[in-house]
Amino acid sequence: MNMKPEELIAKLKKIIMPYVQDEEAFKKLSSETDFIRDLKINSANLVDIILDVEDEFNIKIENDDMEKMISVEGAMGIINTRLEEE
Amino acid sequence: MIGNDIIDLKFASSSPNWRRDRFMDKVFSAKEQKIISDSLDPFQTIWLLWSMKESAYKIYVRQHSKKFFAPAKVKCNLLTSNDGIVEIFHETYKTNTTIDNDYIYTIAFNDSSENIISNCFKLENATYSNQHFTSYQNLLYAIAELENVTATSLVIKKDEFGIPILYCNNQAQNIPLSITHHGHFGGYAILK
Repeated sequence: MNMKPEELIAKLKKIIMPYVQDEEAFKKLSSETDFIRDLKINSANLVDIILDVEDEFNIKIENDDMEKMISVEGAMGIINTRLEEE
Repeated sequence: MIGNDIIDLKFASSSPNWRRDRFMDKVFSAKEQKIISDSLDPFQTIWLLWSMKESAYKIYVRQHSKKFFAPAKVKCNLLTSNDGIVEIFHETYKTNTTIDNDYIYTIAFNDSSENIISNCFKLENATYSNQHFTSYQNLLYAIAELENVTATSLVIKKDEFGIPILYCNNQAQNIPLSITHHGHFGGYAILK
């Protein structure tokens, strides 16, 4: 199953929104946006985001995948890879 | 080298995810999960281990200029209720944790002989701008006093890896720093 990039990014934005601490950076969100550096998301909340991504997309994110879940680009890459396997 | 991390326990308890099994498997090894379930206060132990991992990770990023998110690969061993050892790949760090009713504060370091100045404090409110401003301000005043310079000559900027770098009159200084804030608490550590 494949998802359009804009559809995926819209879903991802909805998931990360409650944890964002820099609204300006969130408005300018792009694939290069870093969750911690740019959006000031607390690292404990990164785990929450990963769990929410698993639920929303009905995928399993292994611990090796988690390493890359630090930016929008990294998260999109992992989600796409897992969706393709479905 | 130095890293520190603070957890506001009230803030941490407001997120329900730590109660989920999947949270535990993503953050803690089987051995760490056993330490948690055997402890008198599992909630407190979760955040004790988390702050150990996080503070040690900050040193690792500084030493290796490499960012990643792999809490379960950062391995904690408790020596006492406050002292621990954290392993990240081939690196080993020591930790010391202060456990309070309201917060958990850990500093990580390479060597016990290192001269570390650390402090943690309550914040007026938990907005990001206040957390950031107050924590940086407190750290700058502490450095100004230590180095006998004016606080206005000092600036802290984060590099591309999120490592705070101290500048004095626009000159980068070789004084490792670590800054942390969470909820209503903040802290800093300075390696002298």
